[in-house]
Amino acid sequence: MVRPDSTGAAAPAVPKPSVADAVLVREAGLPFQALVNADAGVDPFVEWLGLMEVVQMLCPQWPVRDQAMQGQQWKL
Amino acid sequence: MSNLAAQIRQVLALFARHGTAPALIGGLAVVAHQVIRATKDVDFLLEAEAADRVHQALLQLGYQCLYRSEDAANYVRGTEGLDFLYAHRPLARRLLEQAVERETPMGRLRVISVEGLIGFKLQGYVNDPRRTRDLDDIRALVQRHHATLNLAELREYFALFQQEEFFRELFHGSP
Repeated sequence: MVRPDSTGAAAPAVPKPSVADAVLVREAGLPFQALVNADAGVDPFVEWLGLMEVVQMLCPQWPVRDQAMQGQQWKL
Repeated sequence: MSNLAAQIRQVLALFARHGTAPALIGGLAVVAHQVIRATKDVDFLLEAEAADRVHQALLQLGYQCLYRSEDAANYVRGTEGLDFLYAHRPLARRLLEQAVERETPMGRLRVISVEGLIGFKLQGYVNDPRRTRDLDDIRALVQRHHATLNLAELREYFALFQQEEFFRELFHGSP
């Protein structure tokens, strides 16, 4: 059984999907959530590598992290 | 082989040389759990005891450490990024222990459970609410694995981060 710790930090409200679904520049403008059909026997890593070949052609300057991880709530 | 795949293969070899077997978390673990999206986020959950030796080895490979604490570390090498969360609390240690090994085009690697991945995504979002990508990932993982998720385990993670309302939205259709 896990229990919340006592940091006392307020939990952020979760935005609705209509906000969270916005296409972001860092995703190279590709639509999100291309779900794999598990019954198709497709290796998701193979699919991802194929996708990223295209992404890297379209967006060769993919931004890398330029700042440290944020936050104080490390509970896991 | 793509640069990304080569980077991951090199890191996996480093782990093997140093006798540790971290578990994939983050965006690539989302991919591993059948939600394919563009990501270059290479994130691992690493046993805390291995943090120092992996850190030294990464520096020798040319990585620059942007940040390092007892909980997490970020590295970059040119356009490549590499992030770690350190498993030193019981929950993370359990999730690391339970990670399942997979054969991939980059080699054999361990992947955290989908429930654990959702837990870490929640932690990432709570720590930085600008990361709405984490919410997208959670929604997609729930949609994809709804029938087989361990809801009791998930409920604990959502309670841990005070996200019970989000849990109700995901599993009961409305807040």
